[in-house]
Amino acid sequence: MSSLRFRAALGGALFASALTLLPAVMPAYAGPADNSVSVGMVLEPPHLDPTAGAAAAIDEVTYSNIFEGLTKVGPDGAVLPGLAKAWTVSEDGLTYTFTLNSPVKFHDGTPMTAEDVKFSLDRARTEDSVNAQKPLFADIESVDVTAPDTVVIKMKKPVGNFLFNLAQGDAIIVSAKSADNNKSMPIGTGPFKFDKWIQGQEVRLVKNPDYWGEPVALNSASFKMISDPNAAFAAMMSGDLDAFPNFPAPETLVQFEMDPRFKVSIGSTEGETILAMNNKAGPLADVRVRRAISHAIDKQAIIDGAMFGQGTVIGTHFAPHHPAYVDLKDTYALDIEKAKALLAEAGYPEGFTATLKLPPPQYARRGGELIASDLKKIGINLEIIPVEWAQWLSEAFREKNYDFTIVSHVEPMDIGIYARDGYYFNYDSPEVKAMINKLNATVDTEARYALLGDIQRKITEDAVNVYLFQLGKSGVWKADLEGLWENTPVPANDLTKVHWK
Amino acid sequence: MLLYGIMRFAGLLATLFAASLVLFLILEVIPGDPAELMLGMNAQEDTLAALREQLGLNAPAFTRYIDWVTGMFSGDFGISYTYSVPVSDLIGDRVLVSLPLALIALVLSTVIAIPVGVLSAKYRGKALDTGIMAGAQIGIAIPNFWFAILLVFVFSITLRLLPSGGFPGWEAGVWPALKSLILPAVALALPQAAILARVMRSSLVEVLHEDYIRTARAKGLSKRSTLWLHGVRNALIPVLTILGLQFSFLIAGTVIIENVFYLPGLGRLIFQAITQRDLIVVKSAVMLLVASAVFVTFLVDLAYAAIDPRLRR
Repeated sequence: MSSLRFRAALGGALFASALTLLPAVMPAYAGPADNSVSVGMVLEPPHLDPTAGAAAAIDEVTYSNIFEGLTKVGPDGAVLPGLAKAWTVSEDGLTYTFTLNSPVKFHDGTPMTAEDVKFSLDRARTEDSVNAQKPLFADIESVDVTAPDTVVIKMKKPVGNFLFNLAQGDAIIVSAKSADNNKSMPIGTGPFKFDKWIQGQEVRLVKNPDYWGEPVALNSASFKMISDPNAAFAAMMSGDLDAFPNFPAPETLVQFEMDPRFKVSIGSTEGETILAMNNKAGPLADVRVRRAISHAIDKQAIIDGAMFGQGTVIGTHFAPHHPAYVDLKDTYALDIEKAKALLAEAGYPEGFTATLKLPPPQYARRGGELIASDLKKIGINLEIIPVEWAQWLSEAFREKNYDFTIVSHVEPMDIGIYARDGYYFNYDSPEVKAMINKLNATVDTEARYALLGDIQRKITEDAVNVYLFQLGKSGVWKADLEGLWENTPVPANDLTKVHWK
Repeated sequence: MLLYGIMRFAGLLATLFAASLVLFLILEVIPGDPAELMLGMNAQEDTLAALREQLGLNAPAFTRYIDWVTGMFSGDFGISYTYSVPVSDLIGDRVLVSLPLALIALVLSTVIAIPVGVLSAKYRGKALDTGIMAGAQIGIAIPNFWFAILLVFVFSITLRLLPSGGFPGWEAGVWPALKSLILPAVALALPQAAILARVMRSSLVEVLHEDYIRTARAKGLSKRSTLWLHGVRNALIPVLTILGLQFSFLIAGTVIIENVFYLPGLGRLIFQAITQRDLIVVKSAVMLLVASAVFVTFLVDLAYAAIDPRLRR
């Protein structure tokens, strides 16, 4: 027994020393002579048109690099001017007047004018539009060109978040001439031009010499698709890649931290990871049962066990780094006895059996097992069913054929989903609907934050879902590379400020 | 010979037809709607309907099957749902990675396995034979993806001799492209070489016990000539069978190996297309693999006839 343990310890020590020696024998890594950067990504974008797909990978390549919108989101989540250099909002919040930067040219040489803005926004909201975030544009009444550099947008009702909505990848400005080909040949106004896409391998961008704004430092960039965690680790360690902003192998981060060639960045995302409950399925229709479940789950253990410690415990469906966040994580402190009592009160002293459908990401697959063991303690037996994304979307999300599922809601400021009819967790609260309507009609920041706080409290009180944690983001890049985003307020790999030391 | 060839060819066509039918039916029943996956969680019903119509998902199954098969005969594989480019272009690019990879691996495994197997048979029962067979056993037991990770650790991370993955494209030059295929090919070839060496050895050992070997020696042929001219040639038939089968294994292996080395090959394309429900790509790419595996089997059948004259009748 003791000799076994000794051998294991020795093996570990040898392995560790081999790894620490590595940097010493290897040359220090300097930026490449051609001033380029290669960035790793886990998923390949299906195509490169952000106005025609929901995949975050599309934005991770194109946002702010190839395409730009009227407004843009900065690294801290604030709304910044984009193609519009300034704007005014009327008192009643119904009329927005944008003044555009000019002259601005698309990559094919055609000038970008107010007509293109009108075209892009109208295209996104027409009947046969395939824009994945069509609701963002639903409240636009009309888009009018009043001068070559002025656009007036009239709203059906005030939308407090409208400037932020316009900064999404789904609202980028495209040219009528090239819009239909953007999937394979994206033509935007950004500081990088599309160069080449080797499907299954990489997307290459080159500097746009005619960029209207501040020119970028890099001459070229390539996004390489590496989905296998081991391959991602090897590609970074061998120096084949310069950066992996969303690194898929958190268990290896310690090795990068020890290595002076690399910098490890732990940031936050907009991903509220929740144990979603079907609020109309059997026992889960009873708020006492949902509260009991909320009391029974050890969230920190899931972060430690499934996410290698990366993530922040939350108590409601809201990003903790947002100023309107209300800390509600102690509302349902871990308390098995209380959970059992609540279950008994609801008429399930012996618990019940239910299904837990898990999509592919680690937070779901690994977290699901821990949750199943937590709920077993209060008598709820979960049958774990792993599903693929496609299956999850059709069975759980659309048909609502599930009891429990785990999913990370990565869209920023998405608390409005609690007011949607027939949304997959089947929550139906007139009170929340009224509050969301009021929120949309409120422009004043203080009043908006107060309302957002009330909504957070209400959904937590109703224990609609179990709010587990805010998804963390770990990035690894070479120590002499600067300017990458630490957090992801919107899915993006904004390279506009990236440069070698 | 001609009749034999025609019979084999008819078998090939029947297999392809059966495979296309099975493939189509499997893809019909798997859950998941490509339109939903493409538009995500915030998609609205009318947007989804518009996209389904655009993708041609609304036609009846029988019509879609006929369209698919007739399309393939005329070289039209349709347009990828996700990439929006012709499937034939997509597959064409990928074949330029997967085919060289599979061929290099096949050649590598043969070049290693045959001499090693012959050596082992020649010294059967001796220490060299035992050593080789023990090595082969390890080679068979090692999963190729694990071996691939090990290769990357040694040759890319530690020694920095070869890239850890990726493919620069043939236009970047033959050497850089080949360089990026070396590790994947070795990872694919080693387990196959181990199997092949064992088959070569046992087949040759059996042949060496035959009377005609003794006759050849008796008529004054050298030990060496007997081994190579009479021994190895007669021992090749089972080796060829395994080689034919291995081609299919190699293709299957590329799915894993291409993911480990993030190579833009056919295997990775299929893997991604399945998760993205790009069914039109899955159908055509899998069909291509089936066709190539069936075709290689056909070639092996013909090669039997070349080696063994008795089959020609």
